[in-house]
Amino acid sequence: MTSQRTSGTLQAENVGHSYGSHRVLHEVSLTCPEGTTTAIVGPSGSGKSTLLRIIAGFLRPDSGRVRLDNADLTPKPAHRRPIGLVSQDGALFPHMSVGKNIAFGVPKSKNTAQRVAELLDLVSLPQDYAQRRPDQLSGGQRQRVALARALGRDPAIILLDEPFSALDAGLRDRTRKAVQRVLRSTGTTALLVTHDQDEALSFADAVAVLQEGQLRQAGAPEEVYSVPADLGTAQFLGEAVVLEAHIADGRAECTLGTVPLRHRADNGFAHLLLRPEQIQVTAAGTGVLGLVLDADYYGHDTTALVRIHGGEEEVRVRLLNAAPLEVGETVGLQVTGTGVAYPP
Amino acid sequence: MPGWLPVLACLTTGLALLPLFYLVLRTTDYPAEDFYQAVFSPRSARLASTSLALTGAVTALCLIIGVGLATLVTRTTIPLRRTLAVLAALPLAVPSYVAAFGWQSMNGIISPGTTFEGFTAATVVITSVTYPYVYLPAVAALLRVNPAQEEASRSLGRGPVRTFFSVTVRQAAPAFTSGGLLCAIYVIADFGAVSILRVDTFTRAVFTSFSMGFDRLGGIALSSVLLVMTALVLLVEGRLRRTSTRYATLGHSASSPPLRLSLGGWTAPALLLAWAVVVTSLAVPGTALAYWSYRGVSVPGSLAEVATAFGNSLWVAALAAAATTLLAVPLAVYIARRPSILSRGLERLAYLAHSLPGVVIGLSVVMLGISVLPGLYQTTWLLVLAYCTLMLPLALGPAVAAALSAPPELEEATRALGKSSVVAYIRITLPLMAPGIGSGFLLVMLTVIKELPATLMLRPTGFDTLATRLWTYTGNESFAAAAPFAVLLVLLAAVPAWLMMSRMLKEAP
Repeated sequence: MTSQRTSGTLQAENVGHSYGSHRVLHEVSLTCPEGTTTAIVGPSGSGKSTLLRIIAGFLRPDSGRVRLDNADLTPKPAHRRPIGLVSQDGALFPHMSVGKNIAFGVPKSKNTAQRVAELLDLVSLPQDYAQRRPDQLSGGQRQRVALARALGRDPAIILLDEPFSALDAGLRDRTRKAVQRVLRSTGTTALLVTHDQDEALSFADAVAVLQEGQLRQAGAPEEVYSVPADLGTAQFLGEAVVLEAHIADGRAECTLGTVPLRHRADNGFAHLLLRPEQIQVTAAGTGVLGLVLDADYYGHDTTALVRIHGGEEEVRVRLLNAAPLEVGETVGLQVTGTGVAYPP
Repeated sequence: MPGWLPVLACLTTGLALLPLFYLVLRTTDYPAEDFYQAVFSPRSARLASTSLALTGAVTALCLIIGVGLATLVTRTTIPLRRTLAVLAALPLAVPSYVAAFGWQSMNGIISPGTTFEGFTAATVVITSVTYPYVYLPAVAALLRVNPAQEEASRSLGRGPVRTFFSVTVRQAAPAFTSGGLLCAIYVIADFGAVSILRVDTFTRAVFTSFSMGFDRLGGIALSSVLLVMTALVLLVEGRLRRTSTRYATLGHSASSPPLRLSLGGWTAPALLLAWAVVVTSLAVPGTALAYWSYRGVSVPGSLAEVATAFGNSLWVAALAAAATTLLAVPLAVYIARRPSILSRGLERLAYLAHSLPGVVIGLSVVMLGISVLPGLYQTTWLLVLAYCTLMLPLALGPAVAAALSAPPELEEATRALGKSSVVAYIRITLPLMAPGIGSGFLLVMLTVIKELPATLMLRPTGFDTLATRLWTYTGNESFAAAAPFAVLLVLLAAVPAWLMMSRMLKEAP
C-alpha cells in the first residue's frame, strides 16, 4: 500500500452508559493494541453495540473516556475521530456509484482515482465495479466496498459492526476471510462486534466477552475458550460439560474419573468444566461406561448425550470422524486434556 | 388460465375511461391546420404563460415550504416538532376553492372595498393548500434514509451539516421533486381557486369555452394541451418515483433514530417562519368559516337548503362510488394476478385520467352526451360517468393492494377442490378484498363530494350539491350564505386527507 496508515492503540476506560434508568454498560475497560484485531462478543442486549457507538462518537458515554494512543477522543464529534466504520448492511450510499462511495472519504490532497483503484484492488473487486450502483452488488460485495470506503480515509481504527451477519453461511465465511486478509495486510487495528462466538474466536487476535453490560473476560481466543472466567462465559462461548467434582492436590475427582486441572484450585467441592471434544469414546469396555441417550450424526462429527453408569449425570461428547453411535448403546468414555474448576 | 378476466377488465376499464378515449377521438374531427391554429393562437399563448407562471410560482413556493418544514420536523431539534408535523399536513383537507373563499371573504372583513384576486392572490391561496403534496412525501423520504449511511458519512470525516446535504438530501431529492410535480399537476388542474380569484388559466378558459356559447374546437384544443402537459409531468414523476424506490431498497436497518441537527441560534427564526406558514394556511380559512357561519345562521331558510344540497351530494357521491368500485374491481384483480403490459397500461391510463383537470373530462362527457347519448345528457348518469373517469385510481389502489395480499394459493386450493376460477374469484378472492374495496368506495365518495368543475358542467338542471352551492354564493359574494357549505366540505374532505396523510407517512419505516 502506498498510504502511510497511522494505526493506533485504542483504549476504552471505565466506559459506562444508561438509557434512562436502564444501565447498559458498567464501567467497561478495553484495550485494542495497534495492528491487532479484537472481537467483542456478547448476546443481543449485552451492550456491545452501545460500546461501539460510543467509540465511534455517535453516542456520548455517561462516564469514562475513549483514547487513541493516549489522546482523549471523548469530546470529539464522530467526524473528527480517525475511526472508520463498517456496519451490518454496509450502509453504501444508494445515490452514488461504487467508485464515488469509495472516494467519499479519501482526503482531497490525494489522487482520488488512483486511490479508488488501489482500494478496489485491495478488497479484490474488479476495476469496472467502480461504475456499478450499490444495488447491483451482492451482499458480500457490498461489505467489501464498505470496507474499502472506510479504509479510504486512512483511519487509525476500523470498527466492524456485525458486518457478516446479514450474509448467508457460505458467503459469510468467504467475506470474513477476505476482510481478515485485508486487515492483516494493511496492519489496521480493528474492533469487531458480533453475537457469533465462532466468528469472534476465528476472526480476532483477542476476544472480549460482554454480558449484561459487563466485560467478563478479555484475552486470546484459545484462552477465553479453554479457561473462561466463569461458567456463564463458558456456556456462551461454546458447548460446556459441567460436572460435580472434588478437588484434591490439583486434580478433580468426578464421575468420569480423575482429571488433571489446568490451574491450581482450592481443595474441596467444585464445578469442573470440560468441552465435549475432550471426551473420547474408547474401545468398548475401557474407561467409564455410559449409555447413549441421543446421537446426532453430522458427517464431519457426531455429538451424543451419554448418561454415565451408576449416576444421574449426563455429558455431551463430540467425536470427529466417528461411525454413527446407536441410541441405547453402551460406550466407554475417557477424558483427554485438562479441566477448569470453578468454586460452587 | 381463464381468458375472461383480461376481457372483463378491458371492458370495465374501457367504460370508466370512455370520456378520455372520446376526447382523443374528437381531436381528429378537425383539419390539422384549424387544430394547430387553435392550439397556437395568441390567446392560448397568453393562457399558457399565465398557467405556466402560476404553476411555476406555486410549485417553487411549495418546494421551499414543504421541504423546509419536512426538514425541520424530521431532522432538527426544533421545539414542538410533533405538533408542527401534524398541523403542517392539515391544509390538505381544505379544497382550493374553499381556501379561495376563505381568503377572499376574510379580505372583505379586514379591508372592505378592496378586492382580493389576481395572480399573487391565487399563488398565495393555492400554495397554502398545496404544499402538503411536497411536505408529506418529503417527511417520508427523510425518515426513510438509513441512519447508518449518515453515520458512515460522519465516520468518513464529514460533519453533520455536510452529511445532511451530501447524503440525506441527495437521497430524498427524487421524492422532493416528485412531490413538486404532484403540486404542478394539482395547479394545472385547479379550477375553483383560479376562477374565484379571476386568474385566466387553461382550465378557466376550457370552462368558459363550454359555458359561453360552447366553442367546441377551442375547448378541445385547450384540453389536448392540458392532456399533453399532464402526461409529461406524470411521466417524469413516475421515473423519479422509481429512483426513490430503488434508493429505499438499500436502506432497511433502521437500528437507530434519525440524526437531528441542533439549530442553535437559528431556532427562533425557524420556529417563527414555520409556525407563520402553518398558522396562516389554517387560520385564514378557519377564521373565515367560523365568522361567516356565525353570521349565516341568521339567514332564514338556509338550513333546508343546506340539507338538500348535502343530501344531493351524498346521493350522487354514493352512486359514483358504487359505479367506480364496480368498474375498478375486475381491473384490480387483473393487475394483481396477471401483471402484463396490458394491465400496467390500463393502470397508467387510469392514473392519467385521474390527474387530468375536471374541466377536461367534463367537457368530453358533455360532447359525448350531446353527440352520442342525447337521451342521457343532463341526467345523473353522465355525471356519474365523469366521476368514474376521474376517480377510478382511488378505488383501484386499495383494491389492488387487497388483491395482492390475498394469497393466490387459496385460489389454487379452491380450483384443486374442483371449482372453476370464476367461483374461486367470487367466493374466495372477493371476500378477502372486501376491506380494500370498502376503503376505496369511501375514498371515491368523499372525493366526489368536493369535485367542482365536472359537477358544474354536468349536473342536471336544478340539481345542487354542497360544492355548487358554495360556488354560486361565493360568486355573488354572499359569504354568509356560502359558509355552511364550506364547513361541511372541509369536514368531509378531512377524511380522505387524513387517509392520504397516513398512507404517505406509512411509506417511511
